[in-house]
Amino acid sequence: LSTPSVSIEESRAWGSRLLAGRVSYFPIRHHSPACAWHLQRLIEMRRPQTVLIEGPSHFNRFVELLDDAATVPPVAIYSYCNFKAREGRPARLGAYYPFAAYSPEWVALKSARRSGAQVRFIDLGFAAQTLLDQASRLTGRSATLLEEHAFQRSAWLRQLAASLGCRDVDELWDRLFESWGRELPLEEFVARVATYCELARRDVPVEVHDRDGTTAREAEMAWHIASAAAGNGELLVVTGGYHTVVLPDLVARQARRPDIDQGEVVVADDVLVRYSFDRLDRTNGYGAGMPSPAFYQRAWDEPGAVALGVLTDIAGRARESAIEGAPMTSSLIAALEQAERLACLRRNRHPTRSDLWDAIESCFLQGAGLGQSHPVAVIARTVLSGTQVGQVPAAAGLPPIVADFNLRSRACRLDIDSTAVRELALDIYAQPRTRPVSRFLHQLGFLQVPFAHRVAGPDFIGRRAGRRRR
Amino acid sequence: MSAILREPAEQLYRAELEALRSADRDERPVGWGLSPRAVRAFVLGMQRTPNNGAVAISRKFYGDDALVDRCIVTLMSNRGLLLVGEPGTAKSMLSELLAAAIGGDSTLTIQGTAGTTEDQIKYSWNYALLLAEGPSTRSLVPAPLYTGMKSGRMVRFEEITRVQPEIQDALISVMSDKVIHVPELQGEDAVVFAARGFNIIGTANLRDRGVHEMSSALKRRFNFETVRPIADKRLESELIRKQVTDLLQVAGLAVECPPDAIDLLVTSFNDLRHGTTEDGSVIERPSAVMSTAEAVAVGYAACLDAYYFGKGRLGGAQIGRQLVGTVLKDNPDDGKKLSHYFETVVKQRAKSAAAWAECLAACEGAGW
Repeated sequence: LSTPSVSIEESRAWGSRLLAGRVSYFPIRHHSPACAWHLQRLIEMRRPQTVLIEGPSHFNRFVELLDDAATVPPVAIYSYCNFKAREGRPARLGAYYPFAAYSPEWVALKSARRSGAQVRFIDLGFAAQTLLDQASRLTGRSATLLEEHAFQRSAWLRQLAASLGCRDVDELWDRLFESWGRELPLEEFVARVATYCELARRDVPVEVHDRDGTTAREAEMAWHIASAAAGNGELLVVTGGYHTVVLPDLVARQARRPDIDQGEVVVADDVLVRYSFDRLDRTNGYGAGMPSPAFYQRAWDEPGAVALGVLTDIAGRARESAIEGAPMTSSLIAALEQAERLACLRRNRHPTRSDLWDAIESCFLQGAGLGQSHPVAVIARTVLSGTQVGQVPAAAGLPPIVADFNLRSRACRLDIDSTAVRELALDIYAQPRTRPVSRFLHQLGFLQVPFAHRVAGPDFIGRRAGRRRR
Repeated sequence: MSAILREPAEQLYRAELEALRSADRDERPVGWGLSPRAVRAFVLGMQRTPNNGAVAISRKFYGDDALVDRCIVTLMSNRGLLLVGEPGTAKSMLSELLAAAIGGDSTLTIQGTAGTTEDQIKYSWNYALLLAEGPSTRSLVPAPLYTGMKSGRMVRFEEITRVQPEIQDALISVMSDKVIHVPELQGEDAVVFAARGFNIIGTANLRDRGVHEMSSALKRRFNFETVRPIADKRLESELIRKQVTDLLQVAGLAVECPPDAIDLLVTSFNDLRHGTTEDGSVIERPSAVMSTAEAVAVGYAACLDAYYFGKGRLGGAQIGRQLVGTVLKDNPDDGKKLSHYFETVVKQRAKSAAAWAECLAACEGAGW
């Protein structure tokens, strides 16, 4: 493997080039609090007239709704489309475009609206993206439009991670950007992100970009940028850094807008929905953004206090559930010390996600692995993943089936504002009012809705209560 | 060539430790010979040589870099370090390397057995002197813990769970108060406070768990780190090749180790360890330990076979013969499992690969 090299001067030149003109480009990694933090300051400082964000252009109708005071992240725009039946292609595809409070896209939208800027999305529509992507990354139950396969795939980034003693590319990103990001001047931060993305991109042959639709998407974005730049005022373009590094050239070359035949699309629509932290978590198999969203939420809220907060929460919950081996104060002190010292050894500003996981493994688990079923490991995963569910305003509209579900759940007093698992005991014989709840849960079970499952059922001979866990 | 059969790490790697020490600019914890980062570099190796000098720092521990970070950090804290894992996962080697890098001495070692007594851990007496002169520091015979505390160095406690629980618990007060009481002596000598730089590195074998469970009071004073078998086959091959060639070099033997022979060794060990082959066929797992250390032992023994009885080139035949000896220990079922493996997997591979064919032929020749 040949190691691409970039001099510091070259890297700085990229950084200043991106920020220099009337059209400035901000490279982001999706769901990166460090990017969001710098982006917010840039918008507040420059007050651009228009902010263009990577995302299907049919999302423009959601800008008002997203900015509504009643919208509380995590939320997502769910896009779906149905195609004419054809061999080897699913008839229906859907994907989420999630926003957390610390997502750069979300922060860009909110700050832009605060400073009176216009916000527009500039990517190809969802249907067009799915038609172009022959390998179809957008399959599966919870595909997302913010996937970053390129970073995970890049052999060069993996090599860099290994040489810096990082387990994977996520840890590398944390060390290079999340840890010291806020200490860096804006230009320097942008230069480094751009360099990182540029190097990740050098691994990938052009044919791959042609095949998965990246080429067409970038041409579309460039066309939108060029059209917006024809007007007056400053422009800020917020896209995944992977695209940012090529966009200025494409705009300068006046790339042609791709023309995509959408004759095969029968229906395409999208809806703003509530989203949850457990779905944002890549380690839960949802393939988007970063693992452990609750960690980054805390890092966004108060970077210096994350380790202590997380550790005390884990210990608190373990004690509440009276788990054997729940960490006591001495273990908490040891774990915090461990996390801080690991951060120091690895030259991180504050304990990163990996430092914290390592400290939990060393001090709380007594030899059990993090992925295992040790009760404290389970609690730690929940605390770092988070159980929050977002809110969308009533004006967002609801598909009738979702509205009906919400109505019935509320009538049954079932908590649908958290993804935390809990147990519910329904005494359907002694208390008649629990019967509709039991019926509702059975109906969901029959429809295979993954909401609740039965852990103990009525035993018609012994006449015991039915219990459910959700 | 050294006259010592096996040199301790601090002697074997003296040049590396010296180079790291002279290049070390980071802060060292009091009592440590190297900074934490230099200790890390010693264990995990460095791409460049320190100070651009002539001494390269080799990688000595493979497979889990984050584990090494955690171990180093634990040793700076108030808690001891307990390395747990399957036999042959290089727990003792890691403990030796850490003790050598941090305190410059890996020989303060207590070997835990069912017969280990408190005297062997803390101190005992030279009874002739004791009778002649009474208790004094002259008649006291220090054991590793006493010496380590007094001089502020790392003490290694191997196979801690083989020691009876009441003896293990002698460590509790040592680890929380960092002090040993010597009630026989008077005045200052009656209390030995641990100097900075002291800590305990224990190892415990998962297969022996339950021989003697540790008390929860003692557990709380250790951070547990699980050393897992190397998951990456390529890394494991690299390690096995390196260790076998090192052993051959120490013995002064020239044996050629072709890649296909090493690959056969690593693949067969991986198959038998995990109970599945790379292409997914399920085989029965023998109860014998199939660790990396065992693979090195098999590789080395096969090289000796090739050197003294063969043509000086390692091949499938030598590995096959040694493999049988490793798997067949005391469990008669393992024999059946191994012949099943030869029958279903080795036979298939023998059709397309020369090394596997040699291995099969050698084992069939020996009645397998």
